[in-house]
Amino acid sequence: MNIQSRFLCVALLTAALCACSSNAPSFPSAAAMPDRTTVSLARGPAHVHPDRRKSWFSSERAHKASPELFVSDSGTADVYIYKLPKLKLVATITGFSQPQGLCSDTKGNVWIADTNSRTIYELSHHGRLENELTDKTGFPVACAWDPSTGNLAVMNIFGTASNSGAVLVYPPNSLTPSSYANADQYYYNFGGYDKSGNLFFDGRDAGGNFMLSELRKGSSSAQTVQVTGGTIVFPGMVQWDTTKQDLVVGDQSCGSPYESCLYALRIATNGATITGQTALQNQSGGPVCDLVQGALLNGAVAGSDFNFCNSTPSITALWPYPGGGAPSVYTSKNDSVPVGAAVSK
Amino acid sequence: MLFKPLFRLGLTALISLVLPACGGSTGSHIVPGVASPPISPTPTGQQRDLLYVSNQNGTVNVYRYWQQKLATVLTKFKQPSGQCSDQSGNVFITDYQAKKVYEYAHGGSKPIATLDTSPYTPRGCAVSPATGDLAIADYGTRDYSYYGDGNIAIYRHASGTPTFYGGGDDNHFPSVAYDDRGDLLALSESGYSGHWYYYATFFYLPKKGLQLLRIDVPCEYSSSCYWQYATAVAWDGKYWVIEQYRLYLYSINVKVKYVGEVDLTASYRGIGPVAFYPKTSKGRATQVVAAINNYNGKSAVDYWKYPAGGSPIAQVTQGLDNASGVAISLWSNP
Amino acid sequence: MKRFFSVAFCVTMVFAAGCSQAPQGDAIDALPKAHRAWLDAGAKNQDLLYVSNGNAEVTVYRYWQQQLVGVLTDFTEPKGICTDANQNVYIADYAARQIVEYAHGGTKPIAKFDDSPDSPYSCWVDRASGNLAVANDDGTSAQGNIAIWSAASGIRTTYTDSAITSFQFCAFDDHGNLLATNGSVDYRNTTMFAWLPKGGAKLINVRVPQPNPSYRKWYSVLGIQWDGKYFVIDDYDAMYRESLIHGQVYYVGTTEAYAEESSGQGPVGFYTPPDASQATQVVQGMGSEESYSSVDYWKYPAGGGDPIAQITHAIDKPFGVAVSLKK
Repeated sequence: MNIQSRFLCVALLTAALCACSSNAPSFPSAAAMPDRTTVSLARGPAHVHPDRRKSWFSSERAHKASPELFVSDSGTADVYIYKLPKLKLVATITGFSQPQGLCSDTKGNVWIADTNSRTIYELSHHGRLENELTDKTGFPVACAWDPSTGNLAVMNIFGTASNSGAVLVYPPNSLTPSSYANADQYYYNFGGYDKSGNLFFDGRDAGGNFMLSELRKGSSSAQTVQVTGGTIVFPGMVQWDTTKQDLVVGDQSCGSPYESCLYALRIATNGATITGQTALQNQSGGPVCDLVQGALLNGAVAGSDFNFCNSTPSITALWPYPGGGAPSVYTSKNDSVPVGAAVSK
Repeated sequence: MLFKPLFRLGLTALISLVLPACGGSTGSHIVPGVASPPISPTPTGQQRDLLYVSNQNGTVNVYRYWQQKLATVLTKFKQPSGQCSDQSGNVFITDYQAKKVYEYAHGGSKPIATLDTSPYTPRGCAVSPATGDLAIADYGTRDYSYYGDGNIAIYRHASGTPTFYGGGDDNHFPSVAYDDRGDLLALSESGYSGHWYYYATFFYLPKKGLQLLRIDVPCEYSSSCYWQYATAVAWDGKYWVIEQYRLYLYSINVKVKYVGEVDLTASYRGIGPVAFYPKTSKGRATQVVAAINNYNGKSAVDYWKYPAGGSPIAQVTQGLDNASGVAISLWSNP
Repeated sequence: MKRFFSVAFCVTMVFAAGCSQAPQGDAIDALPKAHRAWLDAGAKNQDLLYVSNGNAEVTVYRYWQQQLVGVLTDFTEPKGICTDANQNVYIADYAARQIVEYAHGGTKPIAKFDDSPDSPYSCWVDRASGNLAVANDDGTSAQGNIAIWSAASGIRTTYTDSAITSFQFCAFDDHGNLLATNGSVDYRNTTMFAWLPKGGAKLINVRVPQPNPSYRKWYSVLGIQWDGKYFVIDDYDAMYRESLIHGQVYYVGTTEAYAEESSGQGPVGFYTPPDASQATQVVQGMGSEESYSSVDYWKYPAGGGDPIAQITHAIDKPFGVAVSLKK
């Protein structure tokens, strides 16, 4: 017998044997089935999660990656993902406790500093949870990604022992940060790296006065950077402007507690000089009340106006930068306290 | 010339596989026309999908999934516990007492690889469809203290030295699962050592995660749930599944969100860990199987439609001895 | 028989006189219970503790000796008590719809703030400006509000919040920010918090985090205070320190201060030494189902499982407590 016939024989045999062994089923009838198990789960205390909206994703997201703006809201404890440049809401990520400052890397990953849970969440460009870092020593409010090393710096507004805050630097793929401080600083707010891996961050001293500090790459402690050419009152965003090669620092109480603006600072070896100021307007032509964190884009700054000042709603917007003025595009949500912003490419 | 004896061996193997599957009139119960393969065009390989079931007597039965026919019996285990399969259809079988995990090719009768998990006693396992990583749910050590701490051991590409997660804190993991992205969900029985009670805790390891994250799993009506009797976790292709008498479905992304429930009617003692068909990332499962716990009765593995659940649509009893774990191995074109 | 009664009467008088610490100075009725306000003349030179009671009396004690030195009367339903930088004491009379101000150790009101048509639950004075803020709980009949009297102009301004129908507690920090709450609400409502920025025009709803980040809901808030450094929110379990920075509230730490057999009944009062920046002791009115009433003291912020001191004399279902320092 050749191979083919042998094979055919086996195949036929198989078919025959299988066919003739199909039995009529003797399957217990429904009536004979024992009662199914019913379990009543003891319910715990009625802690109702206030945000019962499910995380959702618009179907657009399946398509090619387009730049997005992530915005954190500490009122609803959600993170919103808007498609740029029109600020179309494409996703709402729920499950946070107190999300505040955001930062991103060049691959589209976004980190969210969640203050109350002392956790830094890493989300992918598509809003999926990728990793969580724990902050054991303080209350994180912001972060910054170092393009020269991939390190993630986290700013703690203050420590867990009612002590001053610090900068925690997490190396990539590590849960254990190194801690850095400026001995004169108490509150640590926002930070940003320049291209060489020097970290600039702002905050306040124990007396509540604004401070700008630098943690030079490789240094073991941070130093105060003297700011001249103007006065910054309340620490806002800190981001290196790669186009203009200067540092953009936000003031959340610019001129009055009810206005925010942005300053451009030229950094030199002996300090920083304010070289420009950008005034921002809300949708009604009045000054932006509180831009907590902005994110620089090409020719624009994106972020939200947490409006506690008057009755116009809080908006998420794009403003021309450095020109400032009226928002070029904006969107509004109800009952929110928008805080952080980061661009995910 | 070398081919002839090999071919004969191959044929013999084929015949030995086929004949027992087709013989035997006891044990296989089918509702005709329901559990058989769909009529729509499908690869013929589906005929070769296999169901692996571990027995108390130290054997693992391999059935043809669609025909519910016993194809082969794998032997020489001490206490085979859980099984899982990868995208190629390879099957991993944990042996609790031997502290080993054996890898078998789809339909193979001898292990193609062995992982030594000592000092840990492995119970559940899962393979990430995204990366091929093998996660082993280690229950404990049984060498000292009541159980010793367990962990989740992840073997990159299912080999080599694993990375351990979640050890300490009196955690004992009976079950672990991956979703199609490579996120991991693990069930731990905590507080077992030295106590007569334990409570179920859940841990999540996102795709790029560095540590197991303890998560709170809410009920339908409240954010806290009584999870003492959870027995296993799984992925149904779309949702995470937590087994506690019935199947509770969740989606997880920062928030753990309750999605719904599925009831699988079975013996009053409930069911063991489930396995879903298909078990890959191609979409949501259409069937689910589990060993039903009939301690005084006949051991069986039931099939249900999914996600409809309800009454079983088929059952396997042949050659079972207090079956526990189940796994489905899809035949894939090599 | 007659003799017995007169002896009995005599004995009663002796006891009455002894128990109420017969004062030198102000007159006192012959009956055991005082109907007229009285305060020991020497009390002015002491650190004092004021307590509002369910029997409509405000009892006054030497803070360090826990000794009753006076009783203020003429209230219908005194609730929260607060003090200002001059150690004057303000008592919110809920049913009378007014806040009555006394000098430290004084028995006669030096000012009255007409809060009608609202019903004041508690109050707080901004140390820097002297502005008086009152949390108004008008029940279900009307929208509650925060009413603020400007120290400079005397004008009363009210602030409402569409999400909060009644206010029970509020406090200022040292920068003029006000944090307010609806306090204890029934199951149909949620405990909420609102922030009024210094010089601000509207109340903004803010979330106040708790020690457990999974818990978003507050139950039975019994008070909001300022301890010199942090806002303190107390509920049945503990006192929580919170930092309000530019509209964001940060949880800082917890003080657990409890006593066996009784639980806190309302807001807390703080003792802050004259040169210190933060309180070193905390007091609270306590009660239990067995009609037990006391005011207990603890170290702060340490707290502890046993009070370091206690007052029961003339305490009857206490609510508001406030410390007024000697000048």
